Amino acid sequence: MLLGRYLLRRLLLAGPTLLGVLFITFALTRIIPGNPIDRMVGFFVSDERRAEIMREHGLDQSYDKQFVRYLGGLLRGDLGTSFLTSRPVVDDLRQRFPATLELTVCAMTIAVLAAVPLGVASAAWKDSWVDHLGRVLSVIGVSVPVFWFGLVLVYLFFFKLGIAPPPIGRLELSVVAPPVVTGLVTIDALMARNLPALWSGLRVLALPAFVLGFAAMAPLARMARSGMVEALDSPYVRAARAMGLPARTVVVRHALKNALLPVVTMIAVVFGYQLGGVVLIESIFSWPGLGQYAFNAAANADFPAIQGFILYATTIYILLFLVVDVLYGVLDHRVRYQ
Amino acid sequence: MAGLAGLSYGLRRNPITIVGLAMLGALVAVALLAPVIAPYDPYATNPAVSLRPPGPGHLFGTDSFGHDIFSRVLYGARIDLIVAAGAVGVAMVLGGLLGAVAGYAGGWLDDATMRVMDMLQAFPNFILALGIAAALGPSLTNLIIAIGLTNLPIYARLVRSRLLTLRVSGFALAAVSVGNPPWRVLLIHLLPNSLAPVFIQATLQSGWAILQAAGLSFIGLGVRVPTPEWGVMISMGVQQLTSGHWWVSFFPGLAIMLAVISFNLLGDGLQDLLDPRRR
Repeated sequence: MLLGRYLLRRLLLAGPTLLGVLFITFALTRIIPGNPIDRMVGFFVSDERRAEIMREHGLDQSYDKQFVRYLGGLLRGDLGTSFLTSRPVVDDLRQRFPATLELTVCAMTIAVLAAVPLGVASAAWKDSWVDHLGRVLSVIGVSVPVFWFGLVLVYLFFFKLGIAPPPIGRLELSVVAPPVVTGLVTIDALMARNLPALWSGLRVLALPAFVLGFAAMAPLARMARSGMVEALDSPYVRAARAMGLPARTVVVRHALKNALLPVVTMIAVVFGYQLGGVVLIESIFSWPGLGQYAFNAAANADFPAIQGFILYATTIYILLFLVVDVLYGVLDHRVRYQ
Repeated sequence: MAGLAGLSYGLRRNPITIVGLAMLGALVAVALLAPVIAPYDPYATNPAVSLRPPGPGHLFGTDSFGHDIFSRVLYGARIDLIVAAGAVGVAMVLGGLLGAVAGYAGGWLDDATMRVMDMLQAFPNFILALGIAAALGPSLTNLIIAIGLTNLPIYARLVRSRLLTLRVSGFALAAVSVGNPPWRVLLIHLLPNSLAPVFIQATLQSGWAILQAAGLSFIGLGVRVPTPEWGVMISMGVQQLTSGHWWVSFFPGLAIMLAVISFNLLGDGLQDLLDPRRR
């Protein structure tokens, strides 16, 4: 009950922000030097035909009317038509979403599974070699350009060693694709009991997910470490130690729970980086997801598609923060929904 | 915080910061001295020597146009440092001023400014930069504007939160009570006292700006192909990678990583200096 009211309040508060986001996205496509129509139809059409197309897209109206029209379209789930694919942008995004979901969830899983133990160990054995290793990995993780790291690994593992499959999509060419149910290749393969496809899907996922995950790991590990250092120094942990509890119990049962809360927020922040990272990584691995779509759209000045992608990604990002806020209340009973 | 003596003491206790400072110094030196060190013109094409592997004649090899990659990596330091400095400068000055006015004036001005910052921060950072860069069109100036605008809210928030506490501190109240006009209190007394965290943030953000600039250029939304910018150079080598010509993309990427590491080490070290509790 309390949670319901809290959610409603948060959604209402998110309203103005979302409207602002919509306005910014709208404004972006209206400050383009030159007319988007010119890029769409080319310069070799008659003035009458141009005016007609302008009317069709409502571009002859004033900006405020255009904005209202744009909002109306959004309410009906209409993000416009892609110049490049000539299909509704919404359909394109919906079709490509599962590929990106599969990639980012795998990447995030790898990142969390690596970051939390590393951060905890770094804090528990502060200034030991583990701590130094963690520090070095973190600095490299936040400093390496993901797309370059992806290219280096493709060169090493595909071209040189021949272990990794070629970076050309979600399945190797020799494998029969499972029927599409969820759109997540690994899940679909599992449901169809198609083990070769499952194995191939995982093999193909490994490199891009590792690259994205490595970049995401660094900020998470730092957060886990600093949360853990603080928790280990707090009175209740010292009390637990003074009572003679074994170090393992103190770290895992007492300190960890409180140290992990800030990590949860960080996951949402890092997810925002990942939404940017997929634009770069998917283009390298020919991964047919949202990022590759945005990449193609950017390369071809396909503004409805870029605009649609930005809105889609930002909405996911905003919703994720909402989920994190709710999760906070579940994990930490000191947080009250007001 | 405690003047130069404190700074040098802190630096000695934290050698990693010195490493970062030295690396950054080397980077700036390379950028300044690029015309002197570079053996070739970064734009000079020579089909006769295309795709040569790294060796004595071409230290980092050549790309498919026969550009000397070593020379281009050196010149790239100029462009990427200009973008980082420009973008962070734009963000710091505009964001700082907005935050200062919001924090000092309070009221509706504060509310309005902060809501706009909320909107900008609701976007995933790189994606907003991508949108702005796509809208403005690819060029060096637009790249700086795009990255500058996306990072502006950080400085606005930082300065605002500092000012909210400083505004009611003893020295500020004293300055007001002896009859200083508000702008004077803000500019002479409050702003200088909120700059330390801003500069640290700027150092960390410079590394991030280089990554964003390289990423945007890589997807064709930053500076354009033959320009010796590191991200562009990586994109020029993508086609050659799967035919074994690894050096075309490898060296510019390595340069990006080293540049970003230098900013991060320095920024982290300065942050530890300012706030010893973080260690």
